Amino acid sequence: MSTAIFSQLSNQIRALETANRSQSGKSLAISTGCPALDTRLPQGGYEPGTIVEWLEPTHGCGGFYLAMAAARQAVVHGSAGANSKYWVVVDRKQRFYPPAAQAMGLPLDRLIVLRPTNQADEMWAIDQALRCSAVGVVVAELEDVNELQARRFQLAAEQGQSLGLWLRPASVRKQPSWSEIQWLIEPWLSPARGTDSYERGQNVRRIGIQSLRMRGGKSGQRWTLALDLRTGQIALEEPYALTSHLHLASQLAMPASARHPANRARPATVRPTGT
Amino acid sequence: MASDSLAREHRIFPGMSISEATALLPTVRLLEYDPQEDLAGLLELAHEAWQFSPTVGLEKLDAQIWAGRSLHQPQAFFLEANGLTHLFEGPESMLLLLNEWLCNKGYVCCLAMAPSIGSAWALANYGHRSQATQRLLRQRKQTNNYPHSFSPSPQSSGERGSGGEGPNCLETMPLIPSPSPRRRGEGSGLSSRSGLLPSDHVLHSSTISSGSVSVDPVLDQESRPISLVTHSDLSTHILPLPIEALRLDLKTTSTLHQLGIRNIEALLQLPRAGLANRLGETLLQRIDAAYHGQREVLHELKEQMLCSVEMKLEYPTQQRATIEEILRRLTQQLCSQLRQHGHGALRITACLRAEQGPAYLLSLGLYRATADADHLLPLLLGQLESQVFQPPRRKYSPLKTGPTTSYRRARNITAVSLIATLTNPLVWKQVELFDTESQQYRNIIARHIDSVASRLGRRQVVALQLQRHPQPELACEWRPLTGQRLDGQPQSTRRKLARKQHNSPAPLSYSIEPEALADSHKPVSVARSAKSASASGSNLELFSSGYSLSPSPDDPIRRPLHLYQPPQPISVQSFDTQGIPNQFSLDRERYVVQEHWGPERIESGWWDTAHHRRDYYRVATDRGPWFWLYRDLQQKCWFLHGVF
Repeated sequence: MSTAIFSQLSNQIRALETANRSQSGKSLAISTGCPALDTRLPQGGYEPGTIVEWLEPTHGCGGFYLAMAAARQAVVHGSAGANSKYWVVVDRKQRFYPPAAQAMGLPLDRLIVLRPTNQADEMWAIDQALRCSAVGVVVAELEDVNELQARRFQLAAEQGQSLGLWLRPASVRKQPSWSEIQWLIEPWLSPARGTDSYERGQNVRRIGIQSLRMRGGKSGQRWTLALDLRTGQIALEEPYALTSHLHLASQLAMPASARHPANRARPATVRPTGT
Repeated sequence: MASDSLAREHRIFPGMSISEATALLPTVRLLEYDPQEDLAGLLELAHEAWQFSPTVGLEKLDAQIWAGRSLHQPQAFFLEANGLTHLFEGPESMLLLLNEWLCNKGYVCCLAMAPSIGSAWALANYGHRSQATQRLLRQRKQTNNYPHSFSPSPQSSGERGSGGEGPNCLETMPLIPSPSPRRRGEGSGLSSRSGLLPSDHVLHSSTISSGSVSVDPVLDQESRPISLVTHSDLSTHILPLPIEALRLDLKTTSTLHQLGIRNIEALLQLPRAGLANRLGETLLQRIDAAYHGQREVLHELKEQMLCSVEMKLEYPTQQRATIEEILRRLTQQLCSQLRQHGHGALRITACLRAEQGPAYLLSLGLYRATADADHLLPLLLGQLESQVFQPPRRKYSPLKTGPTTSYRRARNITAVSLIATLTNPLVWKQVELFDTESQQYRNIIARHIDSVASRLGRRQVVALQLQRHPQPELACEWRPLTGQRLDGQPQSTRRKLARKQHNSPAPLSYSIEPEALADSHKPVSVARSAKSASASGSNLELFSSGYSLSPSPDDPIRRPLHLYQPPQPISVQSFDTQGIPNQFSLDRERYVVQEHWGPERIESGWWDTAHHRRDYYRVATDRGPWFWLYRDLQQKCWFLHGVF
């Protein structure tokens, strides 16, 4: 009985939080690129008309790949009609390399790249792209975004029913955000060569993610994603056994647990570099 | 081919073939000539020349290309100088002012003022040819920079000439073959010669030759390529010129050359009646225009375009509302003209002529040809606000948007004109009963692209065109989405380059066995195609016994999502036994390589301009990031080229 009440209350709260979306009750969620991770999200994926952020401690930790995997799902396997929409990359630093996106399965014939030369133009271009109903996904690298501008992005995404995927440095995690889901990338430290745990020839890249913010869901959850280098598919591994609030002494007291494969390369701390 | 100053330092001169240039400097970078951008640059120059004369026009081409030219498109413009020279304290001062103006814009100038369009054009194009060349060579000697930059490749020797004839006095500005384009797509390879034409008594002609290089501003009076020619001394200046100065077609010129006639003086020795019978009336008309000062019609700039509208104001104004209303009316008129021709505009130039100083130019590029005034007007008004009534510059902060934003006052505007500089026939399609979503999205995205490109600029809104090139940085070519004819055929040079690439020997990248790279000083013994390895089902497992694994061509993360251009050099602290970095520093951060995959050798072919041999590795580091490093086998050093 109590479970049913909790479920009902949870649904009501979720309906209040997302009152402006999903009026029909039918979920239009876009897959994250990892089916197992979709089941862990409250909407079963990323809802169109929302903003999703990946915060990286250092550039190149895999956040952009996860963003592009979600973009592929939105552009190629999106909801009805979405597969004829365009996708926009706002590339102020001019370092986006589309052949890699093409290898992931993204169609380049519907790619529009905007290269603004200053921050004001960048903000304006993102806002316009999100508002355009013919744009399915907007991908951008953003650093400093104030609260007002973040709110504008969220409203623009709702208006255009487009998905905004931002790659940001981890140094902005304390800033207010209007994103639906905010991920923190936790780099997976693979064992060093020469150690016993080193596995030669492995074809997997592991990326640790932590949900800093998840509307309608539980924040603070951690998962490990395994990217198959040969197929590009993303799988979900077991969540961390250790949590951030577990004291170091308890780790030392449980050497068997610490030797568990899922816990071997857990990052000690996340060092935001602000790249 | 044209070349910039740095390329000329390496003795790569305009007119050379590509093979000659690449033989002289293997690292030379070739850029394709874009005639559309060339014309746009000329038009921009002609628009700005309105500050000197109210009558400006491009040269009018014949059906066939003129001898001495390699491009069949307008390459020169004329100014009418009749009744204007006293405003500049004499014709010579006017020419000097024009010379200074063009020099400041980076052009090498040759000016001439003459009594007729024909004589001005002749003097502009052929009166200072050697002088202009010497100036460019002198620049080369004075410059000591080392070039890693390039020689763009427009035409072999494109000449710009302009001729015009007004009722009394004209200035013409023909442009000569441009030895050095500024940069690709921006007036590349343009040198301009301009000739100023006659007033009724005093005939002046001027030629301006413009190039992309910086100009030596200090020139003595004799070396300044400026000609002032009157009726009395016209014959003295015209007679020694070659017969190409008469704007003749190739066939006529060839016939005259076979007869041993090289210059105008020799041509005039022939009986006039015989010339008309054998070589046509056009020859006589051109002789009369150049030698006898016969007048021709100067077509104003706006008359030469398919659609253009202009409104001259009775009183100069700087009121924003007034100018916006004028733009609204002109846009409607222009769209009406376009619809009558069945065309839509792809590029529009709005020229706001100021009472003093250069005109304001608003350039608009469009994704699809359109004749919709409701679509064009907001784009033009946006440009008007950003370029004419600029708000004060301030750092980006949306919170600081106050209600009292003061805009800069524009100069007094005396005339406003709209010219459709590039049009395309409108395509009429039958309306579908059930409009599909994709069709709706296409229409919406076209408007969105126009809007964004109007603010960010044409070159900031781009689409990708993949190239079949082994070097990762050259595998992508970005092209602007707006202001281009998408249905047009590629240029001959583009086709040639494409054919060259397709015919070139195939393998562009391949993997080699790690053992072969253990000693980088030894020649590589095995060159195994990764594709064939993959086909045999032994792609990655093939090298699983070693540390290194070669990425497969089907590997979805074979290439990084972010590519650094240019590649960043890294400092390697230590190597492993195979010569792969163990530790390296980048941006004052130290990284320890935990694992690596590779090598993948990427080697450009001998037929390419610059030879590159690189061994690429995908490395996983101790701090999380995965990098794409390569070892340059020629420079023997390591670079970071991308981030996964």
